[in-house]
Order: sequence, then C-alpha cells, then structure tokens
Amino acid sequence: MSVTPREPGRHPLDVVLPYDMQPRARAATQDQQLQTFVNRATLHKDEGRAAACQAAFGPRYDQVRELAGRIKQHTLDHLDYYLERFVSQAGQGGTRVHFARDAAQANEICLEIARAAGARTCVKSKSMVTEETRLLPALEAAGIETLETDLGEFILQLDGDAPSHIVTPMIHKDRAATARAFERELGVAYTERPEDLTRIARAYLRDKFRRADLGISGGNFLVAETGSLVLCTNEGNGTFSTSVPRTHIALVGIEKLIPRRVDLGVFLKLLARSSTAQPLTVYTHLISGPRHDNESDGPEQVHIILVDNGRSELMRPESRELLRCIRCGACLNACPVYRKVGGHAYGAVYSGPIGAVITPLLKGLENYRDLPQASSLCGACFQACPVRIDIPRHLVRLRTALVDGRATKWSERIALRLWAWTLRGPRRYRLATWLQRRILGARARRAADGRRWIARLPGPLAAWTAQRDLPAPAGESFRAWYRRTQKGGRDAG
Amino acid sequence: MPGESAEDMLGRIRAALGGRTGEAPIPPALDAGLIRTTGAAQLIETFTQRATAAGARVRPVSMAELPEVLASLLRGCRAASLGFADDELRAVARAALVAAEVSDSGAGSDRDAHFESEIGLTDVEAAIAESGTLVYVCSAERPRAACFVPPVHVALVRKERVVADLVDYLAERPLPVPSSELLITGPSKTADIEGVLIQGVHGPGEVHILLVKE
Ligand code: SF4
Repeated sequence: MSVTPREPGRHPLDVVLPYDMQPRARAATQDQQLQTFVNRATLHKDEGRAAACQAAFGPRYDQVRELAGRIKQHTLDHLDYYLERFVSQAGQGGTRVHFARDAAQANEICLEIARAAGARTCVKSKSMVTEETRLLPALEAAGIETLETDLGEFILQLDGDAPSHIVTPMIHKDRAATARAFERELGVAYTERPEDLTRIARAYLRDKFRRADLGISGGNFLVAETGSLVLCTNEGNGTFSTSVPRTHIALVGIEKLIPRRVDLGVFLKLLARSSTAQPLTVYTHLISGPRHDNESDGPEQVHIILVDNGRSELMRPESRELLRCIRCGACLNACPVYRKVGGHAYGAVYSGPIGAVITPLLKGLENYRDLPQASSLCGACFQACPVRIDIPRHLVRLRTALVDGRATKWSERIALRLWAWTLRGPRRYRLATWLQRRILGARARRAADGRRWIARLPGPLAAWTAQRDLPAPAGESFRAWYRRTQKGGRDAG
Repeated sequence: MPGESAEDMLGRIRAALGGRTGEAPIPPALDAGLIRTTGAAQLIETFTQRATAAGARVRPVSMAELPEVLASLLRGCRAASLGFADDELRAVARAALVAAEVSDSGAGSDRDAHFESEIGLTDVEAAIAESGTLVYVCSAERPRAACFVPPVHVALVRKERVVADLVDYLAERPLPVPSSELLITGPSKTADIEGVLIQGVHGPGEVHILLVKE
C-alpha cells in the first residue's frame, strides 16, 4: 500500500489551481500509517535537534541563531554586491556561472551544457531547486538517462512520486513500498530488510556513478569570498555525483550566498544539528572549481546556474527575511499541522510552515489560499528555526492580505468584519459574546471528556467544522465568572 | 547559451533593494567564542571520542607499529587507492602495499581503477576535534576518489594535524583555494527507509583512523 495521499497516476506536484488543500489533508489524516510513522519520525527529529543544539551551544544557542540570522539578513540586504563578488571569484577558480530568471531558463541552460558535453547518462544528487524546475523529466525528454542517487529520491523516482520533506524526502513511504518498487523496477527478489534494500540500491547506483558523464547537484551554500559551492550529504552521493563525471552542473538559488568562508563555521554547525542532530553532515564538500591541470580526477567543467525563479520578488522588504532559510527542515519537524497532514498536502515543492508562507508568495496567494491557514500559529516553527525567521508573523500577514484582498469568501469576510467591529468597544463585545453563547451553546453536545463540542456550525460557518469540532463557548462569560467567584471582585467594565 | 545576463539578474535584485547597495559592506562580526563548541584542551581525546561517536574506528599508532597495522588492514585485498601529500606516510603506505602484494590502482587517471579498489589509504589536511571530522583536500598527490570511492577508508592522521574546532580549519584559508575540500565525519549513512540507520550506502561503510604519534 502506498501511503502517498494522491490521485492515482498523477505526480503529487501536478495540482489544479487554485489549490484545494482539503482532499489531501483529509486523506492524510485518515491514513493510519502516515499518522503513526510521520508523527513518530518528526517528533524524534524535533527532540534530537533541540538536544543537539543545547549540547553544543548551551545557553548561547539563541545568540548563535541570532548571529546566523543577522549574517543571512546582511547578505540579502547587499545581495547585489555578494552575487557579483561570487561570480568574479568563482570565475577565477575556473567555474562557469550562468543566470536563470525562471525554471524554464534553468532547465534550458542545463540541457545546453549537457548537449555541448555530449552527455548520455547523468547522476543527480538531491536538490530542491531541481524539484522547482522539474529538471528530471526535462533531462529524460532530451534523451539523457538520469538517476536520482539519494536513496530516498531514488525510490521516489522509481515510483514516480515526489518528496514530502525537504531533508527526508520519502518520510511518507515505508519499507514495503520500497520493496515493491525494487521488485517491480529493478527485477530483484522481494525483501523488506532495510539493510538489503540499501545494498541493492548501492550496487545498482555504483555502476551508474562509474559510467555517468554528467553530474547534477544543488548547493547548500555559496561563499562569495572564495567562489565556493558547499554541498552537504550523509550518503556520499553528492560527492560521487560532483566528483566522478567529467561535467558537473549545480543549480543553486541566489539566496544561498554567504559572505565569508568563516561564516560556514556558523551555518554548517547549525544546519547539521537542526536537520538531523549531527555535529556535521557526513560529507561536507567545498567545491571551488574544476580539477586543476595536475590533478588526476575530478570534473573538467564545473557550471553553476544561479536560479532566481521568483526569489527576487521575495526580496521586497516585507518578505526578504524568508530568504534566510537554509532548508534544514526543523520547522517541518516541529509543526503540529505538518505532522498531521504530511508534505504532499501542501500541494507544492516546499511544505510545512516555511512552505505555507513562501508557496503563496511565489505562486500567488489566490492559488494557495488554504496554506496560510494551515497553521495553529503555535510558534514552534519560529522556536526551531536556526536563522530565526518569524514564520507566524508572515502567516498572519498573509491571512490579513487574504481578508483585505477579497481573496476570501464573502461569508468569511463578513464574519471577520463583524468580529473586528465587536472588538472596538466593550459593550459590543459583551453583546456579541452573549449572542454567541446563546446561538452556539444551543448546538453543543457534551462529549465523553465532559467538555462540550460543536460538531456543526450553522450556515456559511459550516466549512469551519468540516474538519474539526469546535469547543463550545463557556456557559458564562469570563467577566460573569470572575464576579461570581471572586468575592468583592470589581467589574473593570 | 540560454539564460539571462548577470546584469538582468542584478537589475531585479537592485530594484527590490531600492538601488545599488554600495561596495564592500561589512558583515556582522564573527564572535569565535560564541560559535566555538570545543576548546584546545584534550584535543586528541575529544577527537577520538567524537569520531568514534560518528562511527569511525580510531586507534593511536606509532610510526614503528604502522607497517604491521597497515598489513593487517590490507590482508585479503587485491587493489588499493592511495592519496598522500605527506611523503613519509606515502612511503610507509607504498611499502605496506608491496609487502601485502596489493596493487596500487590509483596511480593512473583511470576512474574505473578506483572503483576496483577495496580500500582507500590516505593522509589528511586536517582533523577537527569537535565533530571527529577528517579534512581531505585534493591535489596532484591526492586523487579525490581515494577517500570516498573504495568501500573502506583508512586515514593516517598525524596528531599535530588535529585542530579544535571547525572555525579553526576554516580560518586558515589555504591558498590557492583547493578545487575540492571534503570534510568527512564517519562512514556514509542513510536513514531514508523508515528511519533505520544504515552505514555505507554510497561512500565507505568503514572508516579507520590511525592517529600517528611522533
Ligand atoms: S524556515 Fe528555518 S526552520 Fe524552516 S527550513 Fe528554513 S531555516 Fe529551517
């Protein structure tokens, strides 16, 4: 049984716009395995992250996050300068830098380099940017046999599936799904043992690494000072993909820049601990150009494609902070909504709290109206974020834009207006809460836990209760309760 | 070549920034005391403990013991890849190959040869105590493949190469910048299938670190 909540035969990223989150979210909440497995894995990662950061930095942790956030913000505030500096430094090391305005350009550049190099086979390491540009089908359409080499991505490729987590792409799939994919696509005997499955993938991909003439990667950081690309993987596939083939192409978002080599000291420490509770990823690779003349191996050509694809739009002052993101995945692991609905419910490449904010900004708020609502605003994402992005603040900003910009249904808009009106004076507020108690209280049923719940709201409010029960309003107001219970209490009315 | 020009991209960025932001901005000061997680005390103990925690097998070896230890690691092998910038250590490794009748497959530039190797023998540029990390910098004498293609990696690390913290390695910027610096922390790992931790998916499943005295 595949646990991916998706329409059969359809790639999870092929969604109809405007995107309706409900069907996938509902399917996910009814999927027993997704519920237990994703929930367990993310909880475990969240605890690991907190413990690793605490062990390394102790009480200084918040200051370190603050510093990391400031360095990233500084880089973004001077992005034109650092981008130019990177281009000139990388050029000195022999790297060829290209510029892509959007996904289509990024793929075209990639294909052109591949054609010029006469590439027939390609090995690819994990990269969220190439998920954005949908590079894999583009390469295959051009007749270049391409394999994802991160174990999780490889399994997803065999199944025509998409990642549901930025760091752990197949968190939604189990060993049985893997076993079936291997049996079907690789023609091996069925086995569910993770050790055996890993060995099969290793042997299969090792042969591909050996023969590939093109390697494609993403990048975790770009160092302006030295023109270096930094790549972090645990399996080693990133190093294989970028060191064995004759040609290496990296697709990297322009927000990955950092000013100095020493800044890596801050970011590498935070990234590994925030993603997987490690002090450093197993392979942290600094690549500063093609092989030198006297070296016996390594790529003859290194190309870096700097990808904008909507990022310069996010550079506006009100959203610039979001580009600090180092894609560590900590906010996904910390988020009670992500844990419940999984990554595919977000209907886009980036999921979880950061996805809920950047997807509407990149793809249009009118296309992803549900995403800013997919959060309880509990603040766990902000707490977990190593570069201190105030995600809840941005979610609220988007919700406000939804209300102001007529992006909301008229009924919700009226409800929100009424609510705003009642908040403007104590009398109105008292009247409104009294009405609310009278109307909603009549609908409430007492549950087993003794609390009263409303299973269905009236009229246009019914949509609110389609996915959840609403706790019934208290029988008396706080004020009334206070007057009754506190002898001599005064009404501050 | 398709794509746009640097000026096109910079133009959009500058529009969002409200104009050119000026030359040589000063980034926030890096307080090393804040980000450093390991001090200079007990370097070797810390390195040993952290590298072991990452899954490497660490043991101290004297120069005199080295040939014998290498011979035991090479037993049963047919081919090895070598990567040494340190002349003395390279000579010891070569002698060990000859004694064990193991061929040196990394001598040429044939990439297939490294895939045939059963073991990679290398020295390192540096080792980092805080994370138990090896730093392998490629050069004419150090092919990239030697440290990650064979299924077993044996690293010879002189004790004076061990630095306390990642920031110590990064601050000593080697010039000219090497084309490839690989920071290796333990054997290759994955937890992609149901979170079960497995070593040796693409890179070496075994990493041996020989801490060489004198
Ligand atoms: S927003 Fe912060 S926590 Fe979330 S992935 Fe980005 S850096 Fe990590």
